[in-house]
Amino acid sequence: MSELQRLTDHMLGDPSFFILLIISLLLLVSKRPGTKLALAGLLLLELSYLLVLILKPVLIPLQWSVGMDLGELLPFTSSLFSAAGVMLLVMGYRRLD
Amino acid sequence: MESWFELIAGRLVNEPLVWSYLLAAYVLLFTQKRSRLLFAGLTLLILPGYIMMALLTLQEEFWVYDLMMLLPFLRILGLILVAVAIFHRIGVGRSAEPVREQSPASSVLQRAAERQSQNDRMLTEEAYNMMMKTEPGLRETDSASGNTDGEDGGASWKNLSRKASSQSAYSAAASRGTHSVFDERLAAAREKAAAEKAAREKRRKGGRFDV
Repeated sequence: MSELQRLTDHMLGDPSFFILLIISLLLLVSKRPGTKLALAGLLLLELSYLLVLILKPVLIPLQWSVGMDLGELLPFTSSLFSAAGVMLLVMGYRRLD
Repeated sequence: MESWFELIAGRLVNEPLVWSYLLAAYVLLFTQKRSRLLFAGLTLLILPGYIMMALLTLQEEFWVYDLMMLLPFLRILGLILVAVAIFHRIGVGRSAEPVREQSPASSVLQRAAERQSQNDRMLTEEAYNMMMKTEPGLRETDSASGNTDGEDGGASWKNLSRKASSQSAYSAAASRGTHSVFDERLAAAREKAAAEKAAREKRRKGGRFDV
């Protein structure tokens, strides 16, 4: 079983994933400005680890050029995506006003 | 040998999420109004991962795993708080009655109507004072057809201002079918007061005054 499949199985058994799904659907149908930005931020914050696993084939050759081994690079990239998600969420929230 | 504090701080410094969290805290707490709920939600979303990291760094295994059981619940609570904050700001759950914005034209009309009604009240007050000077004994119950207005028989200012909202006291009385002497006199006094007022306006503007 691959790591991605294991993570997907874990996510499907996680109640927070279903809460995120409901919130995403509600934000998707809303027409207020800023909702899509907030939704993108929330998804990026919550699914950053999944995104890193998807991007793993790209990150493997990069580890030598950035001077980190894969064990450091994957959490760092995940944290970077989460940070971008937080910023998008805050920007979207500000536009909701 | 590094202390546990230096170990945790050294790992936190290299996390972009910690820096963005601090920036978000500044934006939400100091530049935005009513955004503490989102900040609390973000804290509960982000914090459990770092609590876990700190606990694993400390390696106090006998109680760490009990505490770790609670962390997913904190994340769920954080997600719910973020959702509540966003939907509260969108306005989900508020009354469905749409807020009608007043157009500039209608506000101008409303102001004009208020001004006219105020002028009308002032004119009636002036007419009443004028009438009371000439005929001090006249009362609202002095009716030509025998109808009476008012319980105490006196012409109180409250009754008068009620009458003089949009039309003259005489036409109001005519529409009710009660042509009292008081109403007729008041209407005449109103006409006289209006003519005097127009003359005053004309004189103020420098025009000729013809009686």
